[in-house]
Amino acid sequence: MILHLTINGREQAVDCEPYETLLNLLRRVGFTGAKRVCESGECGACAVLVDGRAVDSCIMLAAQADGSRVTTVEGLGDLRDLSAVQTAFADNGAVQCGFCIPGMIVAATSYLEENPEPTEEQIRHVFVGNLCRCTGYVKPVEAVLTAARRMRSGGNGD
Amino acid sequence: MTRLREYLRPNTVDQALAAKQERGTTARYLAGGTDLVVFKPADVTCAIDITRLDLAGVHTENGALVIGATTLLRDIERHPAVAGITAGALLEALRETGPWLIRNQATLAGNLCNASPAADSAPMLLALDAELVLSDGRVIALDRFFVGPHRTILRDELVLELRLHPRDRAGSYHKQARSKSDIALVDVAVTARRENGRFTEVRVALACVAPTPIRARETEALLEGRAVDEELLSAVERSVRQEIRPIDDWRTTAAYRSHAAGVLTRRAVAALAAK
Repeated sequence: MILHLTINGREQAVDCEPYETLLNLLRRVGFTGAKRVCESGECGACAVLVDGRAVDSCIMLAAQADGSRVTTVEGLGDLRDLSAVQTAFADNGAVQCGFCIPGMIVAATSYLEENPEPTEEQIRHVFVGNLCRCTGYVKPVEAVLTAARRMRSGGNGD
Repeated sequence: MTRLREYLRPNTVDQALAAKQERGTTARYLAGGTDLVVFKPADVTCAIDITRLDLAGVHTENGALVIGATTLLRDIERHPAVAGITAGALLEALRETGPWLIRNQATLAGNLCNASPAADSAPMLLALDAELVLSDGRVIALDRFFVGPHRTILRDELVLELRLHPRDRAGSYHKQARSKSDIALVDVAVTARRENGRFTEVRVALACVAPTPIRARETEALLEGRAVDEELLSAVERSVRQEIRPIDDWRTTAAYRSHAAGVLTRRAVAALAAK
């Protein structure tokens, strides 16, 4: 079946099987920022935005995103122009092995749009769905608070 | 579901029903997908996406809270009418029904149709006299909806909406789990109206202690019309343990579930009495 979706701002027609997940489709067309880890919607390493909502792409059929806008971590910023959240993660030493980070960046970016002034507790509540083996969550949570503060004062952190 | 051959996205309820009736159990309705695309049942060859059927939305109607079947958990949480029901216990139950990433994709109706014995939303919904409105016109009370683990009374019918009846009840909800992202060990919800220091219209509901989420009706009867004291709390704790049928599984033991169910119900009742 041919899907029509907009990925990181670019409209694309992609052929896929009914059983293919959105995660597999995205990685297949070159967006490998979303990671294939638990494939059961538990760890959040595959998180992407679908029509502005942060979801686990491993448990969404690609077909469900037909007609939708999809944003992966690559669409939030890149090395030439890091987003406020990405910059804050780097500045706060929040990245160790890095494997969970794209999912955290996507989740945090989306959450800050809903709630620009989060508490630590609220951020931890969001990160219940982003499992991290390395950091103990301390620096990632601080990074989100930093990003939120910077965004409220109008800066990007660089 | 590597055998999934068909993905349909009908535009009307009639089209969805026709597609399902033609295919029977080889087709499943798909809303969020956070159960279906996880479990990937081997015998399912067709997914019928119901998100275009205009079944999303929350509104109040004669004191009832009406929730469309494809309303996302995140949108139910954010509806202004929800926070006030049971002074926040319903909201707490919704927020425990999976992490934020899941709640951005999952539906409440889907959680009920998945019918896990551990469904986190079910106890509070049972305690609010929830009903499901089906496509064939039937209105089914939630406590008659679950038949067994992952089994409901549904055949080809679609759930169209849920109706909750808070009736000014106070409520208390607790999910006991090993971590915040885990399936529950025991869930308890207690709601009641309070008049002159006594409980009326008491509901006590639990998950993870029987083949389906259940109402503890004998415990409710114990509390009905009573004022709460230490003796009654102890009786409640014993009564809940009599009414449940927990099992050992790889998360915890029947003995733990039994102990925890009694203690948590006691605490929930005590909390309600103190409010």
